[in-house]
Amino acid sequence: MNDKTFAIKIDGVTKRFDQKVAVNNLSLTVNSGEIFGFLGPNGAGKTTLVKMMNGILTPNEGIISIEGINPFEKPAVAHRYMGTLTETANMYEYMTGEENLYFYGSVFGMDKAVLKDRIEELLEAVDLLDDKDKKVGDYSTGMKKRLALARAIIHYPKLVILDEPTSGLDPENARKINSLIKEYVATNNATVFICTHQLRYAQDICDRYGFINKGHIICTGTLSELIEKNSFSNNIHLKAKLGCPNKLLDQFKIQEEIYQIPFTDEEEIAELIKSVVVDGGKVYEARLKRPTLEDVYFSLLNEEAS
Amino acid sequence: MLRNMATIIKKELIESIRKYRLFILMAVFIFIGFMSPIGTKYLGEIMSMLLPEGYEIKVRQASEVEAYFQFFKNISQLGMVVFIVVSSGLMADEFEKKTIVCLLTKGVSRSKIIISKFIAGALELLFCYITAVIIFRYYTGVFWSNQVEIATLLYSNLIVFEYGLLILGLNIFLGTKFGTKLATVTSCIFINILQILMSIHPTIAKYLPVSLLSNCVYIVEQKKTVSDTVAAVVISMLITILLLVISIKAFKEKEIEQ
Repeated sequence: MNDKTFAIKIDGVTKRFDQKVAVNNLSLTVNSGEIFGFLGPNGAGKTTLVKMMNGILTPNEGIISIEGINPFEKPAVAHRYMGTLTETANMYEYMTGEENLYFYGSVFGMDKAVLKDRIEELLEAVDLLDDKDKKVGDYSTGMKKRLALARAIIHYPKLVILDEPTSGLDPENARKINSLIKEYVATNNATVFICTHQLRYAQDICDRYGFINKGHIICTGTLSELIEKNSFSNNIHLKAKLGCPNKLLDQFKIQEEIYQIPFTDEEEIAELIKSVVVDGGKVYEARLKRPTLEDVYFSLLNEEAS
Repeated sequence: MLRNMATIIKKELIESIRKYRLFILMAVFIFIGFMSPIGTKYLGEIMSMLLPEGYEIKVRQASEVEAYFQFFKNISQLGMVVFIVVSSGLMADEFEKKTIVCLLTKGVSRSKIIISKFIAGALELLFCYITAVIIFRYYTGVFWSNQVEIATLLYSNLIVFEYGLLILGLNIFLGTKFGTKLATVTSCIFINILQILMSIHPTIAKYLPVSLLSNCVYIVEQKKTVSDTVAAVVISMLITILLLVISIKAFKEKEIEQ
């Protein structure tokens, strides 16, 4: 496969800041059209990688390719394909929301007539049409974030890079950002690369994941692939009072009357409940607990740490 | 390419207006334009009026050249200091306010950003400076019938404006290097003071850009000719260009922490 079949191809990238290695021989590919969640704790190297993908930082070693283009050699060309929403970058607070979008659209080289319609469309999509004439300095955090997303996708990029898109947002604004991203992907067949440490958010929106810790990749894949690769099992969460001692169940006891039992076949659940009842016990609660992204994430990090 | 730069220049000018930078600079330069000739003409009389009774002061008629001296003194002191402060944020603000990343992630080249900001700053200075000169020339016409020739007026002010461009280049470089307004202003003022101290040596003085701020008066007084100022003018120009070049280089190498 050549670089052009991947939206992002990162090959052996290393970045050092003085003595500290922020990104260490990292290799990663992101397929076109997928929503890729790049997960890791604070300080893992996510934002450093995003900056390198944008050509803001230069890697000490390795190659980055965006739609087959090196963002350091041809930044203007690479940026035509991508739009970026960074965690901390701000827009000009003395200009209105509309003026900011005009500025970034113009500086990008968009035609005036096209830009006018596009800005109107975006402001409506991000629910800022009524606030377009207010200065960005008067916007709330949620409004600024929505405007930043509008700025990132103003030129219909094929790749959208989002660094902590919902950080600092209340649930309502986070939900709005989420649905905007999903809508954009569906409408434009775009690829999205999301950096976040909010796992529930990532599980809700992403197709595939990559885990980073201390500058290197721990693993990548879909949730099912990660579960299978790392032998995570499905569990039955059982709250029951046993009629008689049960050595088999005791090994899965996590609290008084609460058990977490792994299973491979759903038939086992029925058999287990039946056996408790037949032995004179009482079952108060039985539910399936499939491994979540959070379970996978913490397990992998703990494994790394040990 | 030009459209890109024109957009950035327009943005800078809007910023200058909305943040009152242009207003402050214009107010100071208009003040200088008015007060230099008026102050020179009427200073003696004002002092006479302020003296307590029984005291007398002999006032001689101030000359047009003295008005020029006052004008250039005010421009090089008050005007330039205010310009150093208002232009200190051209690059520094982008780093302090964390707006630079948004600009860079739109694929705008770093060299275009530097050059656009320089042009915007130069236009602001030019606009304010011309306004001051027009006001000044009007009043020197009223009080002294403009005995100083237009060519002398133009050249003497051009070399001062050139020094202003050097200040601008210096602020852009320092802002890029240090990323904060405070460091930019402090370093710029320090470099200017250093030049003034170095200019104590007459051999070195004639080559230093800061000598342009005194040569402008000598030109009007006809104590120096244009050719006496060529060395400082050329060196100033070269330093300004060099500052822009090293600003671009420093910016390209700068690791943006945001």
